Amino acid sequence: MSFPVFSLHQPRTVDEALCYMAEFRGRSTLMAGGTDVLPGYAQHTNVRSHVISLSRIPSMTRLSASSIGACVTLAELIRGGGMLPPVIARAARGIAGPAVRSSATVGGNLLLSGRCRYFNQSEFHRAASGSCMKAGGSACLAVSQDESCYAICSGDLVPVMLVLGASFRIAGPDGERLVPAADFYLPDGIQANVLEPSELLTEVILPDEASELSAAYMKLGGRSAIDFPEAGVAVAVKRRADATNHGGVAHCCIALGALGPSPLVITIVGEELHGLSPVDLSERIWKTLSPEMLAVRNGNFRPGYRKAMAKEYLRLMLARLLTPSPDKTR
Amino acid sequence: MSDYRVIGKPMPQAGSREKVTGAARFTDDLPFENLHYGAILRSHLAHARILSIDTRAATTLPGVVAVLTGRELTTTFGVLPTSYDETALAVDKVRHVGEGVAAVAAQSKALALKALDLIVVEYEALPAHFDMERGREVVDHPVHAHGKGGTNIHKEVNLHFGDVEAARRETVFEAEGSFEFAGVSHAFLEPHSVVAEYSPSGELTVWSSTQVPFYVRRALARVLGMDEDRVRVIKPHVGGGFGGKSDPFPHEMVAAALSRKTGVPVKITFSREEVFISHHGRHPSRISMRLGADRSGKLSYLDLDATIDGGAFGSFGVVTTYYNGVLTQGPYRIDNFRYAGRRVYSNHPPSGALRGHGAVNTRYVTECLIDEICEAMGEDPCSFRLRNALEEHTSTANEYRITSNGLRECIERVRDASGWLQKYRQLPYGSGVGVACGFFISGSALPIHRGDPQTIVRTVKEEDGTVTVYSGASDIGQGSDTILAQVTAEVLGLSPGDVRVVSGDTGLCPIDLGSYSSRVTFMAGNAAREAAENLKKALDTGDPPVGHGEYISPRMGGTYKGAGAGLSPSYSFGACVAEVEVDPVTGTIDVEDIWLAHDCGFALNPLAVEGQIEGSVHMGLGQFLGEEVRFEEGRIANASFLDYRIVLATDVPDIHAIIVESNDPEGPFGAKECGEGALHPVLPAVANAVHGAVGIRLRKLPATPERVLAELKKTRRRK
Repeated sequence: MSFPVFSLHQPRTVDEALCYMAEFRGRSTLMAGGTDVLPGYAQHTNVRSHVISLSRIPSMTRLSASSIGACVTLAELIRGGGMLPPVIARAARGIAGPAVRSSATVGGNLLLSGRCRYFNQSEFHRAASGSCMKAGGSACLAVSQDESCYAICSGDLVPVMLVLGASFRIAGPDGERLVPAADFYLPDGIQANVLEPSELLTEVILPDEASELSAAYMKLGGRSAIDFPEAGVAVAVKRRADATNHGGVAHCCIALGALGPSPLVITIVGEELHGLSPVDLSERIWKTLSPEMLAVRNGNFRPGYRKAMAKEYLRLMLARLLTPSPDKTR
Repeated sequence: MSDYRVIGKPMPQAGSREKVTGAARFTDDLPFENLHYGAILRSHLAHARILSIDTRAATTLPGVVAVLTGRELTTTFGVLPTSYDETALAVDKVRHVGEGVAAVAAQSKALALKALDLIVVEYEALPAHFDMERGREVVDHPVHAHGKGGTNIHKEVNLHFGDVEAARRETVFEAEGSFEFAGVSHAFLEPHSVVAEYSPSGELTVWSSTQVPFYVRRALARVLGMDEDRVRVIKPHVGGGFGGKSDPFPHEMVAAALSRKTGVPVKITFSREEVFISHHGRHPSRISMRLGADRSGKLSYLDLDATIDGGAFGSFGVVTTYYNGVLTQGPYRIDNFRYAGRRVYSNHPPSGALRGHGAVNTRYVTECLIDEICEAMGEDPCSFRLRNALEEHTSTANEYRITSNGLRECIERVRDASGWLQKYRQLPYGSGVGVACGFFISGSALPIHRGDPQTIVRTVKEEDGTVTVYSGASDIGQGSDTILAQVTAEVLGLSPGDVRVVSGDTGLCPIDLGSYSSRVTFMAGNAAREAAENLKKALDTGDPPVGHGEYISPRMGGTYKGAGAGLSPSYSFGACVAEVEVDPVTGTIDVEDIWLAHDCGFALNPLAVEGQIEGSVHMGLGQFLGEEVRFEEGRIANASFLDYRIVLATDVPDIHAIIVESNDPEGPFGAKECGEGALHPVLPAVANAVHGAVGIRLRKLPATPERVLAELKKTRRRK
């Protein structure tokens, strides 16, 4: 029941980090800000004996208009976010509180381990309730007898990066690869993304187009700060130079977060938008996406409420962003 | 009033600088030589027989100095003599998830925790009781053998004053409803912490984060079989209590027993989860009420039924059971009153006292039903309340002696300050205002242990001209030390800086029963005033420079069984107006503005009164909007500050604290309580505002957005 003992390694370069990862493969955890990793140790959901800290790798803390190092803190993202699409800083401001944001990182938020009211509990509680499969048990406790894990993908930045068309730079023993955010996440609360155990997310790359998008993000947390999202909706709209066609919209991208173990994303081109009101459009998007939602009773709110709110946010944001007003960059 | 020099002026609390800079030492910060660490093994089961406990492996772990099981310490204890039903550790059976089964002391906390993993307990699971509605059934394995007639009933109260049935026949306007309230935790910042040190000469000193050092001393002596004068309890700085530290607790007994076994000081500090598990918070409650008003708009009767879930142990529960009923006898005149209440044991962690003790939930019900009556009558709820307000210097149907009463002024002040007359029923859909009132005891007139003096203060003039006040009163952050210094300085013509208060130490101070039932300012304040006056006389006459003061409540109240419950030498009154905005799409309630007027008699320290009002608003909003101890099969599903949702600073509205001074004839310089009564009107004021905004009645708390939305849907369907 005591805090697990681990050895701390503090590489100075990505290559050095990869070496540690190879050396302690299966026995190590990567840590950036530690705001999620350390509670995991305190709750004994993670007892790996080696922690590889990424906080001393200068290349991972770089921030530019087109790239965000994985170890950039949320506080830095808010402070230095002037050159980035404003939706990023706005979403970051809604995460946790100032103290957590001063050490929590972009990478940590994008890779946040899926959350569930049965998993994110103390060892004592899990001993009393039985361990879920994510904590080493044999079945899901939220959906009884199910053998999938529904832990919620709870990073607020996940849907935001999806609608901005971001890609993730991944370093591995065989070099680097670039994975579009849309291909990164997997619908599994345990193996929630395509990262191999030997790989490391180093940077988020934003396409040039990101700066031309009008984008917004809304979340269902509960209180006005602190709480993890239990539904998060991001919308980005690309306008045409020619404002008369299709309401002036080239395409519209929608991503839903925290409604299951992975985010959902959909892009609709301007031609398809023709003649649709925001309400009709949100209905259509909802029809397409809702069969894929895996929201179950593992949060603070019921799944029905989480979905209803997401749908409401979607309608609100579409109404706002699809109304022609080219100078309004939200 | 303005001719006072010290009192009546805002004054920062003694010790605030230490707290703000981090210099203040709380129990866990205290340095000790050779300190050892205690830890408690807790049951995973809600209800089970203990078949065996194998401690051999733990005992032999290097660094472990002692292991303790319940069999070694079987004397029961509790806060009320009628409910000595807790033991230091479970004996023979466990009654809730998290009850202590065994304990260890070791050289480090890590070792102590490791040792717990080595203890093997064999249980035989028993059927567990979680549904309070079924608490009246006769069952094979009740939580306690002393439950009434083989049921889980811990306490039943039946009271009837006037004639409810006759009054009902005359009633023109009536409202009724069944309400459900979740359990609430105190959520103080400093977790429970205790250090016990047993000396070679057989004296026990205990430092504990407690509101009641003298009750802790009594329980320690009882459980350990020691004389009380060999036990000393010291209360260091306390980081909040709110009723959650007003019982003697098992961990205090355990630390003391471990220290006695080993001769080394032993510390136990709870994790946040252990704080939630040890609970003693607001009872989950189901309350039904019928309320009537006659042709002239006067409240004619109140008929009330309450079932409260006491969890595994008694705690203050007998008092809570009474308070749920009898504290509806103010602040309005209701001459016909009937109450059937019961507290049932269950296999939940024990419920107990929490700020506004026992009366917050029934206050909510009463004030919501009054709102419904006003709606039916087409009357302004402020006018209705003014008409029904108890008078000054009167007595209630259940024979409470009412003295000073500033309720009318409270209602008028919040009505005027909030712009009520321009807002009530005049705001657009989605916005609304609501009003509610409250009242509370200014200290329980009856000491828990009959015969105890309620409080004694000894004030001494030192050789250097300064004055020392010795009082057992426990400053738990509410500022009682400052009040005692102010009162003393006022009487003696000193500046408060020349008065040193030595308090919260049973070894140095004369008795004070503790910081609960909002009693300290009134009782210890009166004693401090008397002590200072006696010191002044002694100095005038050349007697030794010591002044003695004490407070004992006057004899009053009825002679029926239970007449002492809720009896107080004085009562506080208050009123609250809340303005809310409800989002009919998301069900979110935004409390935009809140006005709370509280009659504290006389504000000895207006800064402290404002602080209490602000804290009460915050706590009331918490219980209304989101705080809920969520039980699942006896486990607490949200035992952390991430999942137990306290209202955040970013969600607290502007709070307009209005101090009303009715100058109580018996309070120290006219003062009475302000720590708990101010909480009462908050929840129903917000609920009534929500009704004003969107037309729904919230009968299940907390009022989560999901519940609000569900109610809105029902209303739409009805239309």
